[in-house]
Amino acid sequence: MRIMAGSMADSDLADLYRRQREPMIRFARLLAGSGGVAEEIVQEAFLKLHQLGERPRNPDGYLRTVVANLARSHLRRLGVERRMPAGRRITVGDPEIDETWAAVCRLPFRQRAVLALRFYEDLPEADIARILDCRLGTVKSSLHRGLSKLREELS
Amino acid sequence: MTDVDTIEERVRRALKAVADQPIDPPGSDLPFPVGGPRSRPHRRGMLVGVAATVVVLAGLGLALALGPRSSTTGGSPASSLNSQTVQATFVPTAPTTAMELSHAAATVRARLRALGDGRETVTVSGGHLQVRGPAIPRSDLQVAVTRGTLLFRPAECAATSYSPPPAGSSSSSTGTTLPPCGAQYQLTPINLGQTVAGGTVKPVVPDPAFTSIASTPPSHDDPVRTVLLPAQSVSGSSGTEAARYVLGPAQLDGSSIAGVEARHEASQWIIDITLTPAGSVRWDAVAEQNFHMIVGIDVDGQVISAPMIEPSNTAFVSFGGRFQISGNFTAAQAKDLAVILGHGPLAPAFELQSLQRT
Repeated sequence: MRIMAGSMADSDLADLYRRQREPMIRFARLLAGSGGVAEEIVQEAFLKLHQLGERPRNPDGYLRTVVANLARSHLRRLGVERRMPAGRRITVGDPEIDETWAAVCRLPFRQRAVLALRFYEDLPEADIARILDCRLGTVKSSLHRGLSKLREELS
Repeated sequence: MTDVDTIEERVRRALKAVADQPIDPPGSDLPFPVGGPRSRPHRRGMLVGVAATVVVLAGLGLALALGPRSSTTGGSPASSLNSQTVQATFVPTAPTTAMELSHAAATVRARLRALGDGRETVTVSGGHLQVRGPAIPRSDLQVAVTRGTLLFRPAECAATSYSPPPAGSSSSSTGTTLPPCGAQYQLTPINLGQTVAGGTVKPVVPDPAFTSIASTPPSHDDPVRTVLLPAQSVSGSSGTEAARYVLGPAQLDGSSIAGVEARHEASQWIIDITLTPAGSVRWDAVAEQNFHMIVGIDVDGQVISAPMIEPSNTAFVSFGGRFQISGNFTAAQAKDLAVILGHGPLAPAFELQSLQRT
């Protein structure tokens, strides 16, 4: 699938960075864990975008895809793709939230990513499929399985 | 907590609470330059095996650009930080663009991950590099911020150790042009006894005219100038210059390298170098130009090896994009060099500003 067209001006890239740095770090946190890792992933994603030398048709969506791929690569390197390592998990001090987040972290990467895109980013399933480069059916089943597991664990 | 709506809401609240935790400000730097070059930050890749040793050491002196380190890659107990998390801040020693910082972060990150367990993070924040990771040994941090500038220079002659002249009459090679090597000291094929293939290498004594000239400091290791560089013996006592070389302008740099691997072979540690296709052509040109002569391998202003090019061949033969650097490397030194050279040079230089364990 070719998604590039034309080149991206530096000013566009700078504007994208100012708009999307924080939202992307928050998104990356949900996929990869600690704040430090999330910041690094987002920096690397912007660097990749800069090095493209071509303008993605949808820079915001493309950036989100790169962040998701980098988060997955990071967890793969650690050999923990199927669940986020407990030692890196963020806690917020609210027992119910921490319990729910711990259960989310135990989900496989794709199910966690689908939940983050659906319930944090509020994206429709078709957009989630594009970002994660998978079929719509995969998004639906990942969503269903993820929620079912959480329901089982948290009920 | 059994119906779908409730679970969805609970997940939504948890995700929002985690995502909304505070974020450090970005500092003043964008992770890319406005109007700057668009290039790759570093190379990756490892070599598996080299068919034959094609560079033979002349045995005229070796050095290692790195500081002292234990014989294991993990560093000695004394140098390790036995803590759960290490946070280090490195500051550039010279004015640095945002792009240079981003590329430096990528290089430091790649080196640390090659040395560690992949959990190290490196970010740019406020013009500094922030390194975080579990129990990163000091020696790994040192390797991660080593410059790693690699230059291949023709060796003009060996030089005697520096002996400072009486006070008030000192000279150095920092800014002045070095004198030419004396005819009988030049490392030519004739002086080295290499007029016939397989001839015994004749030792050429160091030129005593350089005794009163200090070595070129690393900060003045200019690729386009002739330099006088130390080649400290790895096994020698610390700080003693076992030998020095007068080296001509660089004919090749590290950008020609595609992959580096440290390997143990025939009772010694060697470094396998794989060149890029273009680098292979350039290296062959350099090697042919220096056939039966000595090339100094300069890393950060020190000669790590000074091999003679194909002394046993009657005519130049292409290296085929691969060669080996051998020397008195310990396992740790060879592995560190492979990590440094394999991920490209770091620019600019960085110094440690703070180090914390939590």
